[in-house]
Amino acid sequence: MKTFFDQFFYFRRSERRAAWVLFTCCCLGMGLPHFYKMIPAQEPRPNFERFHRAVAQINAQLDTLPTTESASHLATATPSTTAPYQVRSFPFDPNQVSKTTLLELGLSPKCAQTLVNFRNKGGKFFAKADLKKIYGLADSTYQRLHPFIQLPPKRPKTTFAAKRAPISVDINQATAEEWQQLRGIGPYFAKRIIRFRESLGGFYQIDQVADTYHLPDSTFVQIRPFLTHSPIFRKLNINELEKEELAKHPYLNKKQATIIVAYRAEHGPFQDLDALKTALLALPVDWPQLSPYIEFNNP
Amino acid sequence: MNWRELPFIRFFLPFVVGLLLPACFNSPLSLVPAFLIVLLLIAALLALCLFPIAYRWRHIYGILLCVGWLFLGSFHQSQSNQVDEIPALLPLHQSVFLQGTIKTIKARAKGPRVELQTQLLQTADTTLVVDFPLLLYLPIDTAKHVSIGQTISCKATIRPIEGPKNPFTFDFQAYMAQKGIHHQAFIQQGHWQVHQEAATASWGSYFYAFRQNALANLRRHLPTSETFGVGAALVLGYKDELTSETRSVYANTGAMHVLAVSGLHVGIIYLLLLTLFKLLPSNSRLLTFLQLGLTVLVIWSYAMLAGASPSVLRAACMFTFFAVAKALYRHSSIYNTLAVSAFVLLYTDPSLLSNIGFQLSYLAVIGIVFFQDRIYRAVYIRYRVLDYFWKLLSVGLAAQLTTLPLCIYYFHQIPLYSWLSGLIVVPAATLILSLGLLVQLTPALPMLDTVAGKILYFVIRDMNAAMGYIQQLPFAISKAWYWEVEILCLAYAALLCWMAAITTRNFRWMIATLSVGLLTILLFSTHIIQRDQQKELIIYHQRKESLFDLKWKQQIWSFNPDSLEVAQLSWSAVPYRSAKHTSQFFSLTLNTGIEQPHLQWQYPILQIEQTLLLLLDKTYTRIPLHTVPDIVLIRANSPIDASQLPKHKPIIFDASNSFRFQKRWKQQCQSHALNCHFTYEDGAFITPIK
Repeated sequence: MKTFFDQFFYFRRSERRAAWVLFTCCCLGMGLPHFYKMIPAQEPRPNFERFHRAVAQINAQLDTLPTTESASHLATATPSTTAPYQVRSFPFDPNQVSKTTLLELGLSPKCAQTLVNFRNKGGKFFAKADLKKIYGLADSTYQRLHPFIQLPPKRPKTTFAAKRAPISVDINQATAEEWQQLRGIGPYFAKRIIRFRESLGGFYQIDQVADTYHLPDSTFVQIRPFLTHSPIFRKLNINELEKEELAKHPYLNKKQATIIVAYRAEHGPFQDLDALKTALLALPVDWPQLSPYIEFNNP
Repeated sequence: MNWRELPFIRFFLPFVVGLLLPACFNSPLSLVPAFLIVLLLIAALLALCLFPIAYRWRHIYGILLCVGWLFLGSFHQSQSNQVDEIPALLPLHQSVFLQGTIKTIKARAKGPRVELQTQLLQTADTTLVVDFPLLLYLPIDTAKHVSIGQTISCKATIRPIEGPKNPFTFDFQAYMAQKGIHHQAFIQQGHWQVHQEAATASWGSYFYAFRQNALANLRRHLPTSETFGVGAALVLGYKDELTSETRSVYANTGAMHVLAVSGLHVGIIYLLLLTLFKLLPSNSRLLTFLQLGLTVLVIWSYAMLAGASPSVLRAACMFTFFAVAKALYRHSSIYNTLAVSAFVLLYTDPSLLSNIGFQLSYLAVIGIVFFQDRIYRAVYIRYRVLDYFWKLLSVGLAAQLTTLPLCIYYFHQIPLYSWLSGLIVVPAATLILSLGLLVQLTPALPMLDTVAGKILYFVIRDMNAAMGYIQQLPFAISKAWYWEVEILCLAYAALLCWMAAITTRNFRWMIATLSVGLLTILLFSTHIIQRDQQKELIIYHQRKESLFDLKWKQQIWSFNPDSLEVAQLSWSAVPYRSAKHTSQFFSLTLNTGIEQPHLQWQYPILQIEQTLLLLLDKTYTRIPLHTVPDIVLIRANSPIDASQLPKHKPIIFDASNSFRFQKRWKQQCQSHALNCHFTYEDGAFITPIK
């Protein structure tokens, strides 16, 4: 151990000098770079232009891709430090212009994206004033761009068949041909409505037509003003009809029909609606809908 | 051993200790006071140089110098660590635009993975000038070809690289952190762009092209994927084409080191050059220096050809110092040369100290230098061919003696036939390397080219076949060795004592060797006994599945869905199971109940001794009456009410729950003050069984 200590820590005078030089060099070599880093460097501002061009290109690529919900939010990223585009005004067609061109026209990236999204969803610009619809487009920008907006010439307004003379259709008596006079009703829906009417025994109110299977709500709203009402032509005789006949009615199902028949067999004919309600107590029934059709003719 | 002959070791040892200190105490030195102390030390040392010292105080200079190196080491380490902490203000988890240059490219099946040195970063508000490395996963895009040195821009969401979720699995975070990379980003299709301007003609891009050319040359001669994978890895250090089967065969036979270009390869080239030079007259001083120049040139151009990876550069640096020492013809110790090269490497990059490759290559060289001659001389063999093989074997054994503990520590397995594979692999590698390099030069000579290519192909094919054969021998590999750091340290202490005993021929060192060795074995066996007595419940993080194991002494009871494949398990359960080295394996299923003295299982309740684990899912949505579970596992988006859950008991959410579900529960856990554990964030849940 003593010899180890002696050998390890003892340096001759020449060795000491050499070791000192090496140590000092290493100290400087390790220390100086760190001190150098501490000096605030006056670096030349790096060239952002190429980067911004690439960013714009990626954004343009993303426009062509199917947009995902998050794809567009980054497009809002504008460097506050530098404006990437020289703002210019030149003629453009808002129905076709690309996002990069919009940016050059001086729209903010967010606003440009809104316009592109509007178009992607099927939006079209027919008049110059339509551009005002774009959310976030400043009025001053619109005023500046107004003379440059290029739109296709307006088409003459087409006249629609809907402008025919008003007709009226009785919902409980109209034939298929009469139904088909209404806009939006063809042979299919006419057949459907009539079949539904027959199975019900007539509509007790106009809104019931809307319940026709597959009939679009929009069509119904369109035809609603032309419909007139007449009383129900057939009611359900609850005390006479057999189980199968009852179950055929759209507002009653097999289970309810079975119970009605069974209740009738046990307690005698129904006297009024309350008795029927007691019988069907356990089952969900839309009473306001069903009750106009009920009839209590005792045999 | 005379320490006075080894001045660099005397500097190197305190320097390395200094490098280790900040990591141990986790407190970096600050710059200015540290530098003042260094200045003071320099002045003191200078004074001791200039003026004579009394004989009594002759050690004072050495001790001060030692302190100085120690200090310098820790200073260096803490300063280089601070460089890594630059991206602290990075905008994480939000979409940003990035620009940077490509430093390395790794080809993967899903698309290239590149290391990007970032330059510019644009967030929603500002554009920043940045400079940090980032791991970028690019999508496959046939239209865009990336190469080193190119500048690319992309839209990315930067995230920190995550650590392992399950115990004993590969720690990618630490692996990348060692390279100074802490962040990653996945790029989507169309979200990136290669700059049209030509790549800046950096050295990196030039060598990349050079290497691609060399790879193409190899590919001409090696038609099958196995031979090309091995050839490219061995000659050019290009490991991307190695199949996982080949890797495991070479790992299991202990021959993996030939596939990683390192000291062995540069050493082979160095020896080839030496044998070539022996043919030349070397009596004049000028010729010696010419040879030195040529050697250094060849070594470094090979390093560049082999991808200039850290391990090759390291080996090249080491052999350059060897060559210089040899040319100077100083009778200095080889340890001194080793210390100089290690010193230079650590000076350039202190983080190398924790690099497995660095540790292994230096330990191997030390082993070869110290033990090889002693082993070789122990047996005298008269026949020349046998003697050659004995020499080869002794090199392998010597290298293994010093690297084995570290290999066990890192790789948890001992390939028992590595001596045998070494006998085949090292001569084969010499052949393959020289032929592989020859093939690069011969396209002009078709005749030679064909012959060399054919031989190259046959050698590689037969080497692969031999490795496959050795792997199939009985007792080829001993697995499940898990050592703690203290065992590793003790093992090396024993080795050092042994080396001291050999050099000093002092019996006391031998006793020290034996006692430290005994202590190592004792400690290891207590660890094994503890491991075998251990009772543990582990709930893994397995994507979209519920997977948990109960380790009960030597048994593993596993709730293991059938849909899971072995490949998926290898990232979750397999490492833990092999580390625990259990002998019996049982599986728990939903339908069958189990009644054992220590264990009862009836879905959804698992009782292990006194501990009760309750599973809640779509079928079981509430805690049964009169049961107080110790652990609750909530799986498959169970619609349970938070107020029902017991407080102060661990409640585990595993990866079978949806991300949104877990996010919602995170808030509920806070508001109800529950002890929640999400495997998605916190990794696998491990608890001992009482």
